Amino acid sequence: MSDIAHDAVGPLVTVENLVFDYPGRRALADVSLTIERGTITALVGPNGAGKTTLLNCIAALALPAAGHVIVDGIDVHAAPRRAHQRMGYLADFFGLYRELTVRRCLDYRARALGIDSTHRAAAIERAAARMGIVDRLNDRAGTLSRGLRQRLAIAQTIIHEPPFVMLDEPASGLDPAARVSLSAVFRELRDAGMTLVVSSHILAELEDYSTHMLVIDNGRVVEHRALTGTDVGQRRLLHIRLVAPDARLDAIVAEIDPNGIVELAGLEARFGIEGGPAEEAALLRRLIEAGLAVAAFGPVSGGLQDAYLALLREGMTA
Amino acid sequence: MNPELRRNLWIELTPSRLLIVPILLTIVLLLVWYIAGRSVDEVRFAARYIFLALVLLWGTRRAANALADEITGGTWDAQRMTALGPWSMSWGKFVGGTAYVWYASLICLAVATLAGIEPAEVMERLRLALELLFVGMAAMLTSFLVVLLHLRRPRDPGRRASFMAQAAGVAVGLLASSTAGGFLDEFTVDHPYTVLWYGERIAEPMFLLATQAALALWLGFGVYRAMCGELQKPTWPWGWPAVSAFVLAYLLGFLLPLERGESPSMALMGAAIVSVALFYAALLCDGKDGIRLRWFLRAIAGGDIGRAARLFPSWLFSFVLAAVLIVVWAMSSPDAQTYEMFDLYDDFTDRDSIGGGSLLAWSVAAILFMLRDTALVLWLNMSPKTRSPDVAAAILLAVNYGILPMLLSFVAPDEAYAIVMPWPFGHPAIAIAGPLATLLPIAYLLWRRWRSLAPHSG
Repeated sequence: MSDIAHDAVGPLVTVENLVFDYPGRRALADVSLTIERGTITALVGPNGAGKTTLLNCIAALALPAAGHVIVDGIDVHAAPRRAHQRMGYLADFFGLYRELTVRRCLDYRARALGIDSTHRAAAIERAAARMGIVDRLNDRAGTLSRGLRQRLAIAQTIIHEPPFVMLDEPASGLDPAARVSLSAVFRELRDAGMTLVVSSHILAELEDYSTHMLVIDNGRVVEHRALTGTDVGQRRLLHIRLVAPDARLDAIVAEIDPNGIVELAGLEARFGIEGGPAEEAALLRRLIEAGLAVAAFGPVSGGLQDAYLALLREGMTA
Repeated sequence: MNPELRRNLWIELTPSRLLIVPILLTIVLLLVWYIAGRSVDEVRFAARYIFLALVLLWGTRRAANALADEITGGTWDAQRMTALGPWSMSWGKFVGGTAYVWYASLICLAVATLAGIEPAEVMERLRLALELLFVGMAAMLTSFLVVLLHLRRPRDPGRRASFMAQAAGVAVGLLASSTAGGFLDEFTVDHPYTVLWYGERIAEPMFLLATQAALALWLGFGVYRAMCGELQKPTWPWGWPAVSAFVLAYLLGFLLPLERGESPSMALMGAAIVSVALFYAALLCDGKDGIRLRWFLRAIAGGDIGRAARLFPSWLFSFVLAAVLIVVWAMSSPDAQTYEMFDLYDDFTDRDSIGGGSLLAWSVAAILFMLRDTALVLWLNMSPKTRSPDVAAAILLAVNYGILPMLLSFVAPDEAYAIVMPWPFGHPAIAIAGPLATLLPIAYLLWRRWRSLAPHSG
């Protein structure tokens, strides 16, 4: 049933001139954007910015005043049922059938999404395994903890292995440990080939896994860009901090990659490196062998929080 | 099996519940049999009334809650995200959500149909069983439909919508059932009259059965169409026109065909009155979200016919239909002083003391009153503060057309009627000035509210 790899040409989601109104207020004003395949987009913005309205329109739960949404080649408002087979959406306020077991919740969802009987059992097992709830399959949904209910809801959302998944405030109400574990789940889904849009107010958590940032305010796209340092297939941005200033840091960093330096100031350096953990380990070894007193070394966060706060400082709404 | 039906059956038909109902019903019916002197006929009658009580009281509640529970439980959006189409969703949810009620009531229906049956009674018993089945379906479908229609309103339907839906279901069930003594009571088997419909004499019990079947069918169609809207399925706005055409054709069957030399005026009047009733039904029942209305106009202006079709308000069709039929009727008989008009205004006129009048002016006045009422209903619906705008509108209209004319009959001359209802007798200018006097201020208020709700960014 796994059907994630599709026509990989062009963006997965295209939103064109979307307009949506509430009484006296334009919630979405000519919103246009594209979402590339294999990305995790953090959808952020202040309360009432239009995030949930945008997700509802993309999910074909609400008909907009104007505009089009194409998901994986399907006009969602012309063929919503077909589009739903290609996407999953977990709303902010979701419910579960408390009387049903986890297995039956997933079974119902699989049937309702048109998964045929030969693939259904495997789809249930796979979704439960992805969300770590295999051992709960025979428990009633009503007996699960908040975190497990969230996992079941996500399992229901992805049971048909859609190429595109939207999650509205998926971590709200979860404890810190559950949030960390949810971040790992999102990265796994991305690695499995899904494209995600996650709306949340918890920026630090979004920063953990997001590759792109989409900022909405007053129904308009304020910023939509890749987050430096975490982009797929690009350089990883690393951060180095020394115990005391050392002039050799400049030389060593330049020697490794003259074009890679992003920022070098006193004790700190930020620079890009090609490759993965092995290359990072080799670099650290080189710095220590050169006698530099390294106090901190690691990947730079995606910069989501910094970028968002910078936008706020610039006055997003201006 | 339909996934929605299966899910409901998992929840509704647990082994313990399946066991309890037959035991309880057996106890009750045995008790009736014993108390009624071991009479099988009394058991049969009791089973019939228990069936009606189950479908009307419990079934309508379950039908209303089948959807209301999903909304309050937060599962409705997830359901809308599935690949289930409107038809599967409608019947899966309706039959599944009321499965336990059907289980209990069908046991009663089987007893009511089969207890003490004689070979000669088979057809009659079958007819009664079908009648009960259609009435139960009609009542429950009404409740289900009312909740679905409430979803189109921007205000949260909540518990009150469930209650209203159940009340509507009970009302339809009672009205449609001869057993329950509704307005079709005369169509019972004890009075086997015939109905003259399009010139055909039809046995009343069969006519009633066909009417009940048609009612259930059209309510099912209404549920399907409302579900299309909920699931965002693109549709063309032919649903309400189809219902309107059926209602007109059904009721005109009692007036047609015309006798040789008979004026078509009576049939046209009947069609106009039915179309006006349909207009007010659509106006009060359909969603009147000012935003969707604005989008509809925007889609029309932008030539986006597909989107305009999805946003097309059903009351707009009914308004045009009623206006056309009113004008056609007026043109067929320009003189206001006809037998039909005197009959229509019997409570307000002394036909010996009035003179003049133009049916054409009356038709313009009637259309202006419809326009005024539309403006009033829209104005109330666009108010952010009015909690139940349609209930408020219904009360205001009832006061206008029911109480005010009675009060005016005591204190004002006949011409004053022109302010509160289309008045056919007297000078044509007064007939038209009357509705204009109330239409203009209400239209102004509506225009102001419309402007204040214009969407603006930030």
